[in-house]
Amino acid sequence: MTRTLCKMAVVLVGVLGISLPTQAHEEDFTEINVMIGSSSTLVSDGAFDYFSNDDWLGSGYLAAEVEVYQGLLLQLGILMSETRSDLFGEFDTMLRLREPRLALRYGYTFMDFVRPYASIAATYAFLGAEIDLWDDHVTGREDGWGDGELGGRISAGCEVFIPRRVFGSKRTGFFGDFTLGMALEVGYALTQPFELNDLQHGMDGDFSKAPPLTPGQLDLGELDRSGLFISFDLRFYF
Amino acid sequence: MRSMTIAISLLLFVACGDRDDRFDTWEGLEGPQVVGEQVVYIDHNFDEALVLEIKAGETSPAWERYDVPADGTIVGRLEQTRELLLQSSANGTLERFNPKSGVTVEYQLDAPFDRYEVLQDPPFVGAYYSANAGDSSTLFLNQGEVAFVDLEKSKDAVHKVVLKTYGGAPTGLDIAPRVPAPGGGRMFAFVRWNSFLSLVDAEKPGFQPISIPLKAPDTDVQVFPGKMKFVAGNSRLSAYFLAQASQDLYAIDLDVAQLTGGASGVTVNVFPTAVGASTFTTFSNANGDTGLLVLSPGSRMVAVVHPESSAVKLYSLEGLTPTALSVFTAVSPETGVEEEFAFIYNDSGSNKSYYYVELHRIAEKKSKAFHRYTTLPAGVRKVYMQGDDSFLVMHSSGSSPMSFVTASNGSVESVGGGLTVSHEQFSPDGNDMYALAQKGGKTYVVAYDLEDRSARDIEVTFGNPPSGLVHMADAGLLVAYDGSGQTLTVIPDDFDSDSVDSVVQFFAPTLVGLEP
Repeated sequence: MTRTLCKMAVVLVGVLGISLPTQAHEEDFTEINVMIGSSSTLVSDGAFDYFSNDDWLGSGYLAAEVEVYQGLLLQLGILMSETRSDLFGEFDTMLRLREPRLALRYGYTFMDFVRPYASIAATYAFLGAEIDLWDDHVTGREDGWGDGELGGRISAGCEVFIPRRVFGSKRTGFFGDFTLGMALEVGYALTQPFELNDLQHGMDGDFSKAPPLTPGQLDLGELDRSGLFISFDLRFYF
Repeated sequence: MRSMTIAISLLLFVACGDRDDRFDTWEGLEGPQVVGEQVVYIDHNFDEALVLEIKAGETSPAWERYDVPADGTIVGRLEQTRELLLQSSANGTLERFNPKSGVTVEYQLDAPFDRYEVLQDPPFVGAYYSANAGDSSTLFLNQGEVAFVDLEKSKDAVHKVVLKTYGGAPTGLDIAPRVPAPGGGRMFAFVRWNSFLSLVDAEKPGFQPISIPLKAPDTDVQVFPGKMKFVAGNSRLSAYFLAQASQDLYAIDLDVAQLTGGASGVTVNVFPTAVGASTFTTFSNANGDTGLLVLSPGSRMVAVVHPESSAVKLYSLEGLTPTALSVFTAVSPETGVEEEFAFIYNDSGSNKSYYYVELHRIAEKKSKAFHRYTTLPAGVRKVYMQGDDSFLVMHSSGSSPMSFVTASNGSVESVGGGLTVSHEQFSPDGNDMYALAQKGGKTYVVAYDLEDRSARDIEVTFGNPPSGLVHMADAGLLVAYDGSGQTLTVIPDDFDSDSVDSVVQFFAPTLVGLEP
């Protein structure tokens, strides 16, 4: 399913790329935008196989941005994801991601409703992982959150929105410049690797029946999430 | 811009990949095998050997993963070189794997043998097909095919022989120790079949295998030969075996100097013992000749066989169903000279008697050389020799798991009350014994100092209860593992009973060092 969706999205990118308009028209006011969307990152690092049966890390994100110069927007957002899988049908696994980001985006509006743009972002990711290990008497668990990994993203995209003139020229106040749109973006995310070996082994069980023994740690290596990504979102323009 | 977008699209399209299917199927781990300081699993999911190097007090083991042959399974181990032997039916190979270095040596057998016999000294392997060999993918196999591998050779190590099957399949293979003979000695092997044996030179390609038919004296009953015991002398080899449902002891003598082909140099003798003969061992008579003790539990008899003189003497063992025996050398309390003795007992019931036999005095004392003691507090599960005439007897029941027995005088000291002990392991000097123990639903690892007879224990109930224990003497560790091998409990062998935090438990070693 994920694979099919990702392929559809890829085809859409191609179609949009081919059909980009060439006529330009620039809006003339300060923008404040809010966006909510989803993103898929192609994680080719083998360690991601612990947590997913394909190479795509799906995420949701929420961001807000304000125009700081003509066509240049400063964006603050957070990307979140939670992916689950199992290994050998025995070990349930989960990867959690919370990634705040600060981005600069520059776009140029054509025909009042199309704006291609380029973006660069700095990210700081918090990753948590969990691997549940079965046992007849206790549950062993490797879990924990990392210290935080620095990263960056560079991307290009295109947003399409309803021209403001469609809503008429008599609107005032907070919704005076409101409109709706959507965007498709592709780029590359570079992150520091996440040390899976930092996971702490914990045990759940009835400790009153037997004294717990010191848990040994599994060597799981590190996870590098760097890779190409594609995202799609809905945008609310104020 | 267009071309870049199209390029990115194509790149993403191509890169959409699913996880390796092997992560979704469980083919399990084989092991663990403790080899020297390494704990080795064969990971059949990835055709890799996972080698853990665990050190005392360390919670994260060093590891290595090495490629092993597809469908490679462990068929033996070489104790001296600390290596494992892996066979691959798919490749028709035998592989020597050194877990410490990761080095492998492959021997091309070109046949999917399913039975292997490993000789430790010299390191030698015999391979053959059982009656159940082959699977749906096997088009054809010749059950008369046998291979020998001289593991000391780096070249021309494999010697293959094709034997006459007479429509059957081998039931076993016994490799004899090297017989001292001109030219560096010779190695022979016997392939066991229903009602005959094949004598093979395990090294010499030109040697024509000899079929030795077996027939019970005075009857047409088929003889199913059992496992052999060998006595090798200068240019002579004697092989002894019992046969299923037979009271006869068979002896095959080889005059190696005459064994150049044909049946010359092969002598077969049959010695009738007592009904139900099931266990035997060899010993040296006072004059240096070979003697054999043959136990017949059903008739409570022991036969003393002297092949040189063809003499067979039967002795009744009153009050004991003899199923096991141990021959040992000790200073005779009577003469002050080193002699051979036997300790005959029952290891499969609740029999509390044992016999102490003065083997060198049988001819002189007759039945008076057999001394019966009834001092054991409970039935016997296993016996370990402790030196001189002292034995450590593990009990199968009763209030004490074990007793120290002085065979010559019947004195018994029972220790370790209340515990059910299993999986004994000994320190290299033999002074300490380690074991798993159960009491009141809890599992312990226990250590007995066999000199001062003190004991320590530590509880390891948490997690999956261990079902096996191995002493890693070099690392000073005890490794306990559950039935699936998925839980490893590592205990320093000098543990204190209170130091539970010194015990490290690993779950799911499957995942260690995995590089998905």
